[in-house]
Amino acid sequence: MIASFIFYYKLFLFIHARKRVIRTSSDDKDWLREILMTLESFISTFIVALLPAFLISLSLYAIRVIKGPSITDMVLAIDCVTYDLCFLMGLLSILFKIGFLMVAALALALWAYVLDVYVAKYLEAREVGD
Amino acid sequence: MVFLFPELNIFEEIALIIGIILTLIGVFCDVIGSIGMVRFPNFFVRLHAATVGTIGGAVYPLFGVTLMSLALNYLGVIRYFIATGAFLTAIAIVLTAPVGSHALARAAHRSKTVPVEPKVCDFLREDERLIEE
Repeated sequence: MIASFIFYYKLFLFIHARKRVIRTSSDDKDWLREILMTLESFISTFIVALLPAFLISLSLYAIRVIKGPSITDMVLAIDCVTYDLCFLMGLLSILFKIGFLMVAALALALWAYVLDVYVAKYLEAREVGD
Repeated sequence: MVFLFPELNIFEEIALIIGIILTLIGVFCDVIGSIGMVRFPNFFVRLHAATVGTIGGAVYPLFGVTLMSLALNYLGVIRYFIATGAFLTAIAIVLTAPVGSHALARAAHRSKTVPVEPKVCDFLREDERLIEE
């Protein structure tokens, strides 16, 4: 939470410094028009502005992973963390222009399903079995 | 014809706007699901928050990432990698996440690791007792 506030404060400072530079350099260029000028700068700004929400949600899931009263709570929270990481890797592959991150996201999604089924089988029959 | 971005045609622009809206819905559902995962009192109530966090927070935004990456011209060939991977991941999550959470709930109820604490009646336990007798 505090880190997200610091991030927004730095983004605010960055935007205002950029506005001042643009106003002094050229006459009537707005900073919003500067961001919307190319598609790449708009998409990069949009993705970077979404990252503090991921920080908040992943830290709240980590609270439940650490202090979950039973083991099923921990497994459920680990599932949610894994699926959030899939979404985050999709956004980061657009931001960094790396196509192979999505292969790792697919492996992560299937790994969470395997963890679910194994824990459920062990809790019911007290053995993992076939 | 073109509203915001002059380098896209109308179909790519519609796909980009739908992808951005789905991504915003996904981030909102992520935050709501994590708050519910911390605040809810019981395991069987936390399954609801987990569903909000998986289906609303991962499947919809991965379809949004698919549309968004298909619309972006500057990525080049990489956008087909990203679109295919995001679509396959979304299909895998929408098929496997309900199965996994249902198996967890069934195992937690049958193995009595989680007590069904604020309850009025428990028909599933009574049926198991009848079957055992």
